[in-house]
This record gives sequence, structure tokens and C-alpha cells, in this order.
Amino acid sequence: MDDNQATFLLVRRCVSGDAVAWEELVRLHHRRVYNVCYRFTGSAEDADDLTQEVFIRLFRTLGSYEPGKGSFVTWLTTMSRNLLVDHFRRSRQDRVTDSLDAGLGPEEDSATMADQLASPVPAPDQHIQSRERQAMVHAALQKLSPELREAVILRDLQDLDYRDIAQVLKVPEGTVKSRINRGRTELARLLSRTYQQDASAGVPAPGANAGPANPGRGAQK
Amino acid sequence: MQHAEFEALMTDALDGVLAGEAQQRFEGHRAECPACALMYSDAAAGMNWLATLEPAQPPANIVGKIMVATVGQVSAAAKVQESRAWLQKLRAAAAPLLQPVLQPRFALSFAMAFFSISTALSLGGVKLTNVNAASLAPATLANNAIRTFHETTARAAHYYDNLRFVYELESRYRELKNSLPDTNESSPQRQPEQKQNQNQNRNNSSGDPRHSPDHQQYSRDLRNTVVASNQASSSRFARPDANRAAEPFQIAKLEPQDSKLGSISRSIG
Ligand SMILES: [Zn+2]
Repeated sequence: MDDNQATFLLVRRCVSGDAVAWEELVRLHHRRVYNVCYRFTGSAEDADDLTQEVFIRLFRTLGSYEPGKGSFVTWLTTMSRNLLVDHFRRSRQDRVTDSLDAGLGPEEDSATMADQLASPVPAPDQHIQSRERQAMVHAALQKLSPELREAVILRDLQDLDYRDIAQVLKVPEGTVKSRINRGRTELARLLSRTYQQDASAGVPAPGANAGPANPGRGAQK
Repeated sequence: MQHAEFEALMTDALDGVLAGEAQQRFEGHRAECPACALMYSDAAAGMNWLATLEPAQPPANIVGKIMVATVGQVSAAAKVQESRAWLQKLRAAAAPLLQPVLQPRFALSFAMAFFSISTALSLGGVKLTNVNAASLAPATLANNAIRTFHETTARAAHYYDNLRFVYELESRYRELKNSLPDTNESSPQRQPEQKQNQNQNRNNSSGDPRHSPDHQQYSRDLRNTVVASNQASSSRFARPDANRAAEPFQIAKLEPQDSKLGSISRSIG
């Protein structure tokens, strides 16, 4: 039995009123929903509220899920995204703090020992800590337009494929790819600017346009 | 290759799925067009930046808050009991039909279901004698359950626990039967029969298959316990009105059994 089938059986149990199945479904998917909300809104508090809203909506509409129209994850992501768009329109929160250092949230995990060891940057005092680095990327993400932000979140953080993203965003695949390209390049430019400012203040940048210190993690697989 | 085509292939190139002639033309354009080359290296950098973001941890209580907002309680644990009871009632209703093909490993579930049903019936004033006695005979259920646990668990501790449970079940059943006015008359008649069975078991006579001596299948070290328990329960049976409530049914002892049953129910249901 594959994941889709298992999920469908779980959904069917939920629809028949099985509260245990519902709790299992919530446990299985709340992290994914929370992360989409957190990376899109930039706020842990908003993500908390919105994740609850997503699941309340899911609870009411679960009976309308049809496995033939796509995976459950795509369906749930679409629901989350629609709610985020509503939230964005309600709050008009495109004003983001200018300082990229400001977004240091408690949710960011500090670098693991393995990451530290694998890093080609040798001296810890010269190395921009992973925690700070993540906070900077997170803050830079908030500076992207919502269209570009959601595209790179779904691709690079949620690992959805282009076809699923096209379904979630209701735009053609070509448009999805174009937004991902623009989102990535814009993010890199925002961050390289920050790093150059840091470099002039004495902290060395990891290299012009080279991205973070571990370029092996994606570019050429 | 045009800039637009280069851009359209960029995601594939960064995913590492570009191959053959398309890849050659892509690399060719990258080498000769500085604008596209810069765009490519920026996109690669952006992708790497995003890859450094580790998943954020949601607040610990978020699942509980969702559960409260949807089903009105922090956890569905309480509802487990509800649905389990329902499942058992369903199984009990189907028990007479399934009896011939019933596998021993289900027997304890049925025994438990029988217990809850019989309790419900006696509280409701229904005569237990109306129920098909053969299909619900506690001895059958108990023997099957015991054999199952003997076969599936090598550990005597578990075995003993379950044994205790089954005999508690059986004695409770007798108390129930004895408390019903109609069955009081039949009780003394059935008593010698039972004792006769025990004698047969002790003499290792395996004549009647319906009364197959399950004792022989018990492991040697547990044999004494079994016989003792059986004697204990049958002596209680012999004097129905002696002290009906002498050994009150122990709910607390039953709880771990119940959770074991739950896992059995889940695995088969
Ligand atoms: Zn070009």
C-alpha cells in the first residue's frame, strides 16, 4: 500500500467520524502546513493561528476530498495556500522590517555538529553561524513578492514537483518555473547585498554570488 | 538558443535532469551570454540559500489546540474507548455466526465483548439463558484464549496475566448467571457435569472432543496454577449463594488487559 492509498484510507476513516484517525491525520500533516504558513507569513504566531485555521477548514471539507483529482498533500497545500492568500489580503502585511538580522526566531534550529564539520569555512569565529544564516534567509524570503515567495516555498522548502505547484497556484507549469527562477535569483541578490555589507563590517562573505558555504547541497546533483 | 529558452530550461538544469543535446545547447548559451550566466549563478545561489533552511518546529500544543477546535477535546483517547466498545458489541453480535471459523487469536476479544454484553444485559434485566449458551460458553472462550496466548507468547508472565483475566471473566459470568432467578434451578444439575469433566482431564482421558482437555496443552510449570484456578472457580460455582460478591470484580486489574485487547482489536480490525 503506497502513501496515497494509506492517506486515502485514513481520510475515509476521518469522514466516517473516527476521531482517532483525525488526530493521526493532524499529527501527520501539521508540520508541513505550519512550515508553509511560517515561511510565507514570516511570523511564528501567525503560523500557529493559520495552521489551526487550515485544519479547522480541512475538518469541515474533508468529505469533499477526491483522490482522483490529485494527492492529498497537494489538496491540503492548496487549502493552506488559499488561506494564506486571504490572510495576506486581510492584513496587507507587505511591510517587512528592513533589517535582515531582525527575524531571529526561536524556531530556527541551530546548526548540527555535522553541518559545522562539513562546512568548508574553517574558523568558527569567522563563520556566520547557521542559526543567524537561517534567520537571514528567512527574513530575505519575506522581502520577495508573495507570488515569488510561495513558488520557492513550495519548490525548495516543501519539495513539491512543478505539476503539483501548478495545480496549487492554478497557473501553467511554465509560469511556475519562471517564478521559481525569479524567486531564487532575487533572494540570492538580497542576500549577497547583506553579505557584502557584513563583509565591509569585517565579516567575510562566503564568496560573491556563491550562496551559502555549502554549495554542494543542491546546485549540481 | 535564445535567452527565453535558456530561462525555461534553468529549473531542469538546476535539478540536474537536463541531458543530451538540450544540455549542450544550454551550456553553450551560458558560456556565451554573460546575462544568462549571471542569472543562472544567482538562481543556483538562491536555491542553495533556501536549502539551508531547516524545517521549523511548530508549537508543541498545536495538535491539541486543533483537536479542541475540531472534535472538542485535546486527544481522541477517550473516544477510543467508545469506538472500541462499539467494535466489541459488533463482534459479539457476529460471534455465533463466526464461531465455526473463529480463530483462537480472536477469542480473547470475543471473551471481552461477551463480558461487556453480559454485564449490559444483566443490568438491563435480560435473561442470559436466552443467549445461545454454546457459542458464548465461557469455557470455550477461555480455553481458546488461553491456548492462543500460550502459543503466541512464550513469556509465562503474560500467560499468567491473561489466565487470571479469563478466570475472573468466567467467575463473573457465573455470578451473573447465579444472580438470575431462572438459572438457579439448573445450576446444581450442571455442577456434577463440570466436576466430571475435571476428573476426565486429570485422568488424561481425551474421549469427547467437545470437552477436549486443554489442560494437557498447558506448559508444565503453569499446570498447577490452572488447576488451582479452575478448582477455585468451580468451588465458587458449587455454592452459588455463599458469597456472590466475595471477590468483587477488579476493574483496575482489567485495565492493562483492556489495552492489550485494544491492540488486538486494532490489528484485526
Ligand atoms: Zn542569454
